[in-house]
Amino acid sequence: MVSNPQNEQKLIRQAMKGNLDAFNALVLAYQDNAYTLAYRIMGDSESAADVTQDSFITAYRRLNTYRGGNFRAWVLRIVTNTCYDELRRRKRRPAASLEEMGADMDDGIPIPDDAPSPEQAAQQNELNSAIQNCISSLSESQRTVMVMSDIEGMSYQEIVDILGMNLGTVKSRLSRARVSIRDCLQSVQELLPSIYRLDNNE
Amino acid sequence: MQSLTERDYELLSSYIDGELSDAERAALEIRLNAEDELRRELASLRQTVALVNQLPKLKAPRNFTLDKPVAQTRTIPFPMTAAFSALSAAAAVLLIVFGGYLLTFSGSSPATSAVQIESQPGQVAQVPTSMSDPQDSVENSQAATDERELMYGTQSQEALESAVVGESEEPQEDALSFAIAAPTMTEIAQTAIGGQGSAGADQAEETDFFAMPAGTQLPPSAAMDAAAPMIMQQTAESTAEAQDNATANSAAGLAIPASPPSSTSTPLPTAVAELQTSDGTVQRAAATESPVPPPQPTLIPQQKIGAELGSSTIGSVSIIVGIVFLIAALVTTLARRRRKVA
Repeated sequence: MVSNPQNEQKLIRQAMKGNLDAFNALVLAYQDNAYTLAYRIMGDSESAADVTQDSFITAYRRLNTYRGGNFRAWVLRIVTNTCYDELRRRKRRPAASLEEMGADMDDGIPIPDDAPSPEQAAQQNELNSAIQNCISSLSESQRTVMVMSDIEGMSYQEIVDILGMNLGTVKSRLSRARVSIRDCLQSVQELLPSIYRLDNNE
Repeated sequence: MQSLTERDYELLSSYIDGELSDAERAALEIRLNAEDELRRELASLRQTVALVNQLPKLKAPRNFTLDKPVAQTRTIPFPMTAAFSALSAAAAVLLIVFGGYLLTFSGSSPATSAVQIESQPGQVAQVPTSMSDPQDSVENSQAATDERELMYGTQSQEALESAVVGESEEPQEDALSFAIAAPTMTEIAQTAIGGQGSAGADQAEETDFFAMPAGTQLPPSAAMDAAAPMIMQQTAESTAEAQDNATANSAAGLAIPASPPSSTSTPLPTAVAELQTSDGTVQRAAATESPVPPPQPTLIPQQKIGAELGSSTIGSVSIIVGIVFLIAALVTTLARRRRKVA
């Protein structure tokens, strides 16, 4: 439905006038992006779903602050901020956060876009879990930049626009995040499928 | 591996993403051809990026579309926002501080204190506005004179007296040094007794006038305005005899009491009837010599009481409103937390 920019702008205008159906069309177009970003930052599916829902509610309420430009980037900025808010809240309430994380350990396998065979799925899940654990070990700022760049496939300029930081900071954080992930994966590469094992040059 | 700098890793990372400028890319490629370690690092970072890139795009577990009730009911009213709580807390602090200030200073208003001019010249004195017994004023003035005599000796006293009666065209320095307020005050007294006091001068800076350090001379008109209300007030209370005595005792400003600050009935030297002439001599002009007009009723005490009551009322109201704001800030903060937990 949001196949072209003109259609998207039309939906945005209608949504800004209070048309909930138009806004929901935009939600359907970007909910996978939003959920993926939330999942990679939050590290569990339940929190990711909550954050995604809250983000779209916030987006609907703040549509009047949208000043044109990349709507996807605007939505993902809200998602990022909502994730940060939630992570900060968890830090303030570590007990509640541990409970939530414990509950999510069991059902934390997200639904991929294309469901593979059971064997492939098991292998993929193992790899994904290892990578996700490494991503989760990054600092919030490095994690966000890396998810946006290497998972969401955003350009540096998009990341700059969304996070409101300068290009040098984005480059620096991304570089550090990649080195950290590389080191993390090297320490657990026996868990990875052989085709994904990193060369150990040490 | 650790020999590479952070800048090298940034270049490698940007190189992988194709975000280097032509010059940077060319320079890096030259280095890559020459440095094995740099090549190895590039390869391992590329593999890392590829691994992360292969993470599947996730599908949302459900639709996150909004329905009307959610879109409407989730709108937080302003009183429930953090901004409201913060503003309320700030307003509470300001109002409570303001109210406390008003209450504190309305309680120690100069209207309830008496003249407290230190015997040492140049000291800051306070101003009375309360009515006092004329007899007390006479006694206190006399006591002050006696005390001053003891403190400054007869020489100073003589010098003062000579200055007062105009025996010398140039009053002695030391006499004037502690009688400094007297000429100005006597000018005022004379003016007031002569009925020339301005009735509208109740806002005159009594405190400022009396608090002036020695050596400060008010312009005659300002001094007149400043002292007129007090003079009128005292006149209303004093009998003619009391005025005579007070005049005698307070000549050359010696009626300024040296009593401790606890004294609350010390009068002003209002009945002083001396006139400083234009050539600097001081002439005595007893109250009996110039007829005193009938005492003029004045509303100054009532006005002051009203002002005190007003400020204390405003202070109390401010504190109460501040407390209400504080409660509002606490309640909304707690409600927000509860909602978030739920």
